[in-house]
Amino acid sequence: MDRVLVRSAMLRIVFVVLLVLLAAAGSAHAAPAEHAPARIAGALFTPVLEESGIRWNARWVLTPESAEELDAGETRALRFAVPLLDGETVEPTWGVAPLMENGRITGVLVDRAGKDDRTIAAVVHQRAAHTGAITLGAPVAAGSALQIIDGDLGAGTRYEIETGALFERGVGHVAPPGTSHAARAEARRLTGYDARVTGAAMYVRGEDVRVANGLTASVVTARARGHRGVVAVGVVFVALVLALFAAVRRLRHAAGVERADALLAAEVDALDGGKS
Amino acid sequence: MGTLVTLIDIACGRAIPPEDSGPSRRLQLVVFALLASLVFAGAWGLAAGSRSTGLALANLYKVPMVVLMSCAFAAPAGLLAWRLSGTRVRGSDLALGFSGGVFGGTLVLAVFAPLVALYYHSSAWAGPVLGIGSVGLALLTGTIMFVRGVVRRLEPGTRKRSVLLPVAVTLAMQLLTLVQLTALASPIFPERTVFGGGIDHLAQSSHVHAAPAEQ
Repeated sequence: MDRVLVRSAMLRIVFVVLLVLLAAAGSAHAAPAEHAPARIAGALFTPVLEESGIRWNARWVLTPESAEELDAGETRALRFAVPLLDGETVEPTWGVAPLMENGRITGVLVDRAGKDDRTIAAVVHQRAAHTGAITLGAPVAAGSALQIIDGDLGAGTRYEIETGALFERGVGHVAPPGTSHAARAEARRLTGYDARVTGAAMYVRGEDVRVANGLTASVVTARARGHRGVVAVGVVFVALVLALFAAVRRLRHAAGVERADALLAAEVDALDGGKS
Repeated sequence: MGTLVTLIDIACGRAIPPEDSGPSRRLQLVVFALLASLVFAGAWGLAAGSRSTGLALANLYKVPMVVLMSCAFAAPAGLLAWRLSGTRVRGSDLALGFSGGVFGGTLVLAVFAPLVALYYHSSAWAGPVLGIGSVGLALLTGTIMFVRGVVRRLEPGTRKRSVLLPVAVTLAMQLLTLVQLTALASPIFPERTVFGGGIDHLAQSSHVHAAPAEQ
């Protein structure tokens, strides 16, 4: 009887272990790591300041091949260059789900429902202060495709990233060294980015963002940008006004003598004219 | 008072009296014209910012700064153009014409100052319109006075066309510096204007629906 009970108990344990193993195997099968990557041709990230931080409107433009794969009903993993920061969340969207790995969002799982033509759109919320230096929470995709972060916050305020060796400042933009005009134009064309002369456009590649371990940027207002210039101009202005007053003092005597000479000469001329 | 009348005469393009024709006196008149311009500009700045005490006091310094610095930045380019163009106009005539134009332009601002202040306090929209309008009128008046002052003092036989290059270069330089200096000194008006952001905002405004302008 005891043997029967023991055998039964052992069978139950084996059964439970098998169940656990099967469940583990099942979950391993569903792990995001199994999903093939979605490749992108470009992306645009636009920040909007909100009460609790920054809302990043992200639009990734898939390569035609990846778009076709999604059209075929497959789910693909769009990985970020660096995981999202602590406190950063991806707003739930139809066809776009956050990809969690080791407790952090490392990308998004996308399927046909989240695709519009070749574009995948998502919203990422970042908790951050509206002033000072922050790590930009723009979900830059991994890879070598040129992506655009629009740093314009309106009213002349913008994010300015620390360029370092990975980025260089161009006329009206920041881009990795050697980025051609054609590459930037293509990135704009793909994303429909309306380039303006704000100096706020940041062209980045996932590889560079990964190497830099995220992008650090500062919120710079138009007033702050002009502050140093105002001080310099103010100093020059004061110097000029002082110079003008000094000139008045120096010229007073010489001009007085000239005027007196001229008046005297005119009187002499008048007298000469009277005599003749 | 006599000097002020002489300056107004010069701004109007009248002939300089013989007793004021000496080089030191001419230079003195240029300096007086610029100093008087600062006072006029300050008066207008006070009026434009009169809705807020802080802004009004700041404008007392900012508007004269914009005027004087734009002159200082424009003058070297004008002098270079004058030298390179080989025109026979005297340098002091060019300087007198320029300072006369600045004097005349800021005088227009000063004349409008009471009106600007009154409208800023009694109307929601007319104040800014009058403020920006008076600036436009001052620029136009200054330009006309500068051109007329230089052309009228040309020696007989000198072609008028020959003096246009230094005048045009000076005016262009002053306008370009005015745009950025205004942005640096912003806010001058209590409202946000298109001039507050300098050339970036102006370019943006003109390219809102145009093709990408970035290079």
